[in-house]
Amino acid sequence: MNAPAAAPARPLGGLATGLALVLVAVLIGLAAQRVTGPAAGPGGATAVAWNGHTTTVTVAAEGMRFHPDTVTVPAGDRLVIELVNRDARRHDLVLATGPRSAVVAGAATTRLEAGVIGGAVEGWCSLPGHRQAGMRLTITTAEGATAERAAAERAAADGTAAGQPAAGHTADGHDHPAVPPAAGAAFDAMAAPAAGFVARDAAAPAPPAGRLHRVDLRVREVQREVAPGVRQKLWTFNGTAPGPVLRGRVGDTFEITLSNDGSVDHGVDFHAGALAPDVPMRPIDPGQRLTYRFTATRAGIWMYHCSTMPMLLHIGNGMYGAVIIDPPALPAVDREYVLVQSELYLGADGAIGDLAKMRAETPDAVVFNGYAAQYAHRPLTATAGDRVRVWVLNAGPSRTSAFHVVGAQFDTVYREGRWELRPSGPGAAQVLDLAPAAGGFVETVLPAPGTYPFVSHVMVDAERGARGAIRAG
Amino acid sequence: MSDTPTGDTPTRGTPPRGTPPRGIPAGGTAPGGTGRAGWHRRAGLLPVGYLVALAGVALVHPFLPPWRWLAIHLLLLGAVTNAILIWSAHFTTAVLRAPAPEHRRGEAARLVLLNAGVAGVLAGGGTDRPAVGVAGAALVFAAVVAHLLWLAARLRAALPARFAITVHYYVAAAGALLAGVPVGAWMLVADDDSRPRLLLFHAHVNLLGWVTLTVLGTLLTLWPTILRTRMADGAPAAARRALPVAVSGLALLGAGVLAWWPVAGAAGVALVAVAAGLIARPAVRAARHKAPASFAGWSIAAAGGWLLVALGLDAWTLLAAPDADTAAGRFGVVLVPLLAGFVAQTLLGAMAYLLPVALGGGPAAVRDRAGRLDRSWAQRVAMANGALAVLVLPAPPYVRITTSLLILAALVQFLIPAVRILIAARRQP
Repeated sequence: MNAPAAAPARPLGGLATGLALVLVAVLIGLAAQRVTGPAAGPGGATAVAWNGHTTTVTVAAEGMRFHPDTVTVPAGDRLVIELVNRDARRHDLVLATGPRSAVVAGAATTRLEAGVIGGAVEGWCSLPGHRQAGMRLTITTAEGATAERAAAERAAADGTAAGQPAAGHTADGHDHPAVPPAAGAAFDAMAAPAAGFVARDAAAPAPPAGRLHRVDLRVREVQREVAPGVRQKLWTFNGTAPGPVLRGRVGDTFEITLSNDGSVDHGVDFHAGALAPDVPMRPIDPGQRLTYRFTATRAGIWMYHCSTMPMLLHIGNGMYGAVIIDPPALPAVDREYVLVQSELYLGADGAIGDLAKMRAETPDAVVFNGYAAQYAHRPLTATAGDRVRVWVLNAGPSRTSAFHVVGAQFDTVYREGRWELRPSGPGAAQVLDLAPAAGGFVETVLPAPGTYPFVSHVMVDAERGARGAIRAG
Repeated sequence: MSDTPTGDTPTRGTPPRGTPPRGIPAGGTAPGGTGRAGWHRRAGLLPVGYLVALAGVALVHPFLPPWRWLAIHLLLLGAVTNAILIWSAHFTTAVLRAPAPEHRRGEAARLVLLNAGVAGVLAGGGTDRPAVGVAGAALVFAAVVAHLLWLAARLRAALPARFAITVHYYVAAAGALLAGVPVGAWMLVADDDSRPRLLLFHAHVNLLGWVTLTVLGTLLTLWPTILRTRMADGAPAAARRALPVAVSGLALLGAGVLAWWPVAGAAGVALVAVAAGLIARPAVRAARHKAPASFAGWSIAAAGGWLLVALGLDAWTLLAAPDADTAAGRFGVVLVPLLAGFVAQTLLGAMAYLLPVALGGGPAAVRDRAGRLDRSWAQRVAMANGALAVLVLPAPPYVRITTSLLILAALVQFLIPAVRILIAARRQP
């Protein structure tokens, strides 16, 4: 808008200035990339001079694997990895030498400057459980034999310093001990909880009025005591494992709002509703929400659990709960309790559970309602002559439950949607056997005052904490 | 648009032949304009204020989880929607040769309603309180309905005017926003499997309908005015031809993304691009006659280029995505060129031209303001567009940080003189 005469000279200068600023910004960005990148890190075992070549490879993350899972580059090359995430869930790529990519959402791509490669380098996805599930990548140099030896040495070094590569990670929840056996928290199945310990209320909730039940489920990462003196970082629905017990009648509609306040993606799967799983059970990223609506058309005690892979880890770390849909004309009883059995695979104290133990199915504890032997120390109560109904759901993730009450017989057994025994019949049952995810209830009348222990009659699990008691006054 | 009072602009060159006669909207007000100038001083603060907030969000975004949503809505719902309501009313009065408004109570009420609504939407959406957000969206909806009714009434009352087509663009744009707002409000409340399709609908209808239609309609007269040249022959005819193309493209696009029929969606995008091309042809002819030589001119020219880039990316995104979920996830690729390249540059360019003129105060004051807003314009335009080009291409993270800082710097380089001009105008008599 100035005098036109001045115009021709200045725009060119301004144009040059503007473009120069962009160039400077790009150079600063590239320099910052180099400084924070791997090449500058003294920890890198690759004290190899750059030979002037850059190799760029594309690595896809798909189905909890890196494809390819081995990348071979000439020694001395600078390596750039284009990470393409073809999964719906998020992934990243972290190298043992330090470089780490951004966390990429599904269908997105990121670049990782892997630095100059002088020997074998291990890489993995640092999201919880993903490395253990097989998301590993090996970068080797073309000189095969020496590289393999280096890889073996590196693996040995990693083994002695468990979790070292991940030690620098700051993001909460992204740490996971690399080598489990020594890391498990100490657990004593016979220890008594502290005096102030309050057991989880096992009383079954009454079915709420109304036919539409709106429930907020917030995924939260919490520190919880799971056995006397043992704390774990649990992934929970609404802060407890098991999550809240929901209850309704046949025909009721549940509208669940799932919010992910955790640090990794989660989802939910309600067995109580029949629907196409693709959308409602999809994993959602931290900070997101989804609405999951189902109508309970069939009776039973149904499991719900996190639907995100690896499910073994998500269920094993606390993301499960029960929905009770009353059979029509369910008789009232004097006492009604809900017990959810699950296994504990302890990680380091205050850390999340150990996926390697989950895979080996070597639980440290097997528990009712999330805490080892809590009802042995704080028994459930009843009165002699009362009819007691106990709903049992086996959340697993992997072990069978055999629910038995010492000194009592079950005259009523309802298992997986079917009345197997009624009081009117001549027979009775001694055990309610439940595969993982199965559930039902039993009823008994406690004959006289006394303390009636209950266990999972898989005796090794009873020893591991799958026990409690009903005290009849 | 030659809205400058006659005689104010001896230095601004011969007015383009074929633009509306100068001085119409401002004719009645006092020279120097306490009426009109005062209105634009206050109203101009609205979009500028939202842009300042946007710059603030850009600086603190690592600490704001919903910053993306907030930034998008600060720009589009805050700055752009305010600017559209203010300036489309202004241009409507001008092109329809309506008498200068005696008072602006209706307009002020619409703006108050709009901004109460914007505040509600931003607060509700930013803090995850859907009820507040929906109430805000309802107010925005009401403000736009009032605006639409006002436009329709002006159209009915007007004598035949050569550039009445501009107002038809505004009516179509407002209609598009009325479809987009309820969908946006619904997404604050519900999150189900239709969300990706609703998101695509909301984004497309609002961006390509409300914003783009308004811009295309306004540029018919604003572009030659900024260039200070005559309008190319056939420009009004091209605009008349382009409107049905754009509207049918938009309808096809809306239906295509709602029903997730990507081919229809991409065809809709293509029709919108054809409409933009129809309007661009006479605009390019005008620019060939007299090349742009100001921040406004080059910003808007670059914005036109980014619009075509964004439309191309958009069509590709829709066609290449296997499902609506993926398409919605990839829409971020379209947003950078569309929002920063097209929308923000158009807004800044138009305001750089309009604010100095609308604030009145005589030719010297106008020239002084225009000079301040144009200072180092070549550097700003080159920097912003060069940085945008780097940002659109795949660049490593730190390069993205440095180049996006440059874009922020370009925004601040506009905001500082703009705020100072608005403050200085208040001190003037």
